Amino acid sequence: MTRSTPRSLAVAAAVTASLGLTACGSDDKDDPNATNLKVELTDKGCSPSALEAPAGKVRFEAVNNGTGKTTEVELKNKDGIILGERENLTPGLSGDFSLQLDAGDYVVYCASPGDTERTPGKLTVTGAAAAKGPTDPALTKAVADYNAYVQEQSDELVKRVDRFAAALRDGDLKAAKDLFGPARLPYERIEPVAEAFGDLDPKIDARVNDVADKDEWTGFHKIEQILWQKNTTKGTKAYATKLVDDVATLDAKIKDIDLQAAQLANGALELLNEVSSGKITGEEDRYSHTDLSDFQGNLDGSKKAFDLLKPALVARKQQALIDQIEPRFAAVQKGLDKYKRSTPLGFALYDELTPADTKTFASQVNALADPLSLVAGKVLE
Amino acid sequence: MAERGDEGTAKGGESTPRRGMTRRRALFTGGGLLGLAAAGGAGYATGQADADTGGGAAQDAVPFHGEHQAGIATPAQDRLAFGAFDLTIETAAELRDLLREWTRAAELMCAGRPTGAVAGHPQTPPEDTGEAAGLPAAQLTITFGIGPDVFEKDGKDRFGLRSRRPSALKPLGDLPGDQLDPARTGGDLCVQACSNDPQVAFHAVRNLARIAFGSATLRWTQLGFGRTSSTTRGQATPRNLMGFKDGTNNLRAEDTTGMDRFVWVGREEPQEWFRGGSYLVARRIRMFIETWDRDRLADQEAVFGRSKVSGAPLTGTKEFDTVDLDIKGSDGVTVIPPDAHIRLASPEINDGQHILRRGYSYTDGVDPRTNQLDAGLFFIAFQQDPHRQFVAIQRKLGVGDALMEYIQHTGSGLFAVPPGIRPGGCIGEGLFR
Repeated sequence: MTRSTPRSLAVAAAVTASLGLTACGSDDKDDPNATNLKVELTDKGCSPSALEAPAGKVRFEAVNNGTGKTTEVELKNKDGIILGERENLTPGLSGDFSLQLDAGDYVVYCASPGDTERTPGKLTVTGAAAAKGPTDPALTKAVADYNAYVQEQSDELVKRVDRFAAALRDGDLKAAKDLFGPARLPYERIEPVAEAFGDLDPKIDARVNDVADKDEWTGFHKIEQILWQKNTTKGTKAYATKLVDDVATLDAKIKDIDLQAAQLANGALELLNEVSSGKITGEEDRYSHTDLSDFQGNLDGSKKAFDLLKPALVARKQQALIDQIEPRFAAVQKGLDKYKRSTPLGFALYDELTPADTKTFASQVNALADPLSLVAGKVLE
Repeated sequence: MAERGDEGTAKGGESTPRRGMTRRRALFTGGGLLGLAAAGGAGYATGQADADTGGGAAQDAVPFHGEHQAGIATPAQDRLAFGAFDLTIETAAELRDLLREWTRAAELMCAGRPTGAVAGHPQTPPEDTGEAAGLPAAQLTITFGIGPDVFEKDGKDRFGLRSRRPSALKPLGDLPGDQLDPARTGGDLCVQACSNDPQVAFHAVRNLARIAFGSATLRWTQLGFGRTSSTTRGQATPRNLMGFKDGTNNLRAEDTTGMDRFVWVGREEPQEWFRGGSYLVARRIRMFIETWDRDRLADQEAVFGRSKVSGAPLTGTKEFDTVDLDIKGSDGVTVIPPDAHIRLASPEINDGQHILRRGYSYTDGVDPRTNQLDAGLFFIAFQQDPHRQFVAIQRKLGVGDALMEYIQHTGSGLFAVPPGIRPGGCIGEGLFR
């Protein structure tokens, strides 16, 4: 895994972020850039019931001057996500929260706890509309095809992890070791997507030094440590069951994922960063030394996303960028092909990687990743 | 300005060679034979008074003596030379002697003077190595620290000092995300030399290392070429190697209440000798420069939670605007992302804890494995309790900070920094009473 949740899919990750109570900065009142909106809690809801503000920082203040029937206020976006709220506003109390709002329609809901029957109020935020995703057909197709690729890899991951877990349950050490690298391969191809679901990637793919508490360490690398360091399948059963569950949860979440074109391009880059910071230094699979198989997975996933974006790049007259990137993908693959072996893993172990080749890979991956980092900006132009 | 001339004249008086003294140190301190030593017993105090007041000893010299050691609340200088040492001696008395000699040499160097003759007897190696001759002190401060192993190593009371151990001087332990190189970690003693002149800073560590021959050997060193924190209100906030302003919300030395609450060890410390001290945490934080440099601007800003050029928090427009961790955007997510560095490092998230950061950018050439730049931040922080402060904060950062994707902690050190030294006193003298 990366050292932390990567940012390329932050939009998707955001949906899973917790939406707790919004506390308010006491200095907000003095902020000249904020629009102040004031509502009064009434028996029926809030007054006024229709509010307006320009896009930007909005400070929302609710006052209860005496009603016992309405004690809380929520501001929601049009998807029903609560952006800010104040509760327990009993008579005589007031509360506020601040938000940074794009143009659009929002819902102001004032009620008592549990009461969902009130007529909601409305907040209209005016100004420049939030940037919409591009609707270019070339990009739409790229996203749809990449979605299909992610689903396919996720299904494959579920299958391979099931087989790996079965070998662990059967206590078949050799089979388990043979299946470890191949089971990881589909995961490595789509890792940035998996990482978008904040807590799942650490459960599945954390290395020992990534976790805050070693007792809570689970996933591939925990099992790897037992298999290679202790040379046994004993003690892996619970971890195997958990890994099966976690990849199943991932698979279910991936079915609902809504990717965007920028995420493809950034994901392609993330995968190469994975190679530079983890695989070519042998830090990823430090017990089994199966890093080169992971390397291939990262490279596959990166290449796939790039290939799918090529028509959009061509449409934007970026053939020169394509011509720069393609031979560099080929150069990395050619270097990696030298280490292909007819073993269950399909690759030599990391120990066989010569220092000279490590350096070559590092410089080739850099040379590839640099122009690749320009793709997102080009396709979104 | 102090002139670092070829001072061949003795500043000190008589000195009595001690048992167990090395040959070099015997020469260094033994003023009698060649009449050169800037050291020795009672004499050095006279020498020091000279250094502090006489000879125009530099309007750019920072006073060495005080309630606290210099180099903590001192406005951060531009350059750093840091050395960690392993002791090779066996008794507390020998340790005391080493610290006494270091004190003496540090007093001179901080006043812009050489540690001894730069050119003395033609048949004798010069006492001071000479590369700072003619250079002013350039705000040189030399700050000394003592590592946990001095009080107990492998369960053994190595120097009979276990009962004097500062209460919070316990190893930092494993922290999430660590990839520590043993060759860049730990140490029995540390010397932090800061100056506005890199050669003056290096000269300090080099000469202290030379004085320590026979008592301590260098374990690791680190040069820092640019300060990454402002520690006083008059200083502009510098940028780290990621191009971001760092330390905007750092503690400031003028905030004496804050310094007393978060930096200086006070009456709560049962080890009386250590009151007025502090704890130094050093972390060599490698940045994956190549990867960072190809990250898009919006993401770089999201990682820190600040605008790259202005340094303003994403919830404001100017550098010192209040960081509003709660304000949300239209998507329901806080404008400063949940994993932004300034969020996870903020006092609000960390039980109100602050630390005084005083780090430096470093580069050590290229990583021999990959030929990628080995560069980053040599993080130094001072605090009242490293476990309540640094460790608690780092446990959060190591797991959740978006920045962890682009950095790796590759070296570490924890040192108790004894209180300041009165004229005539020695570093850590309370430890040996």
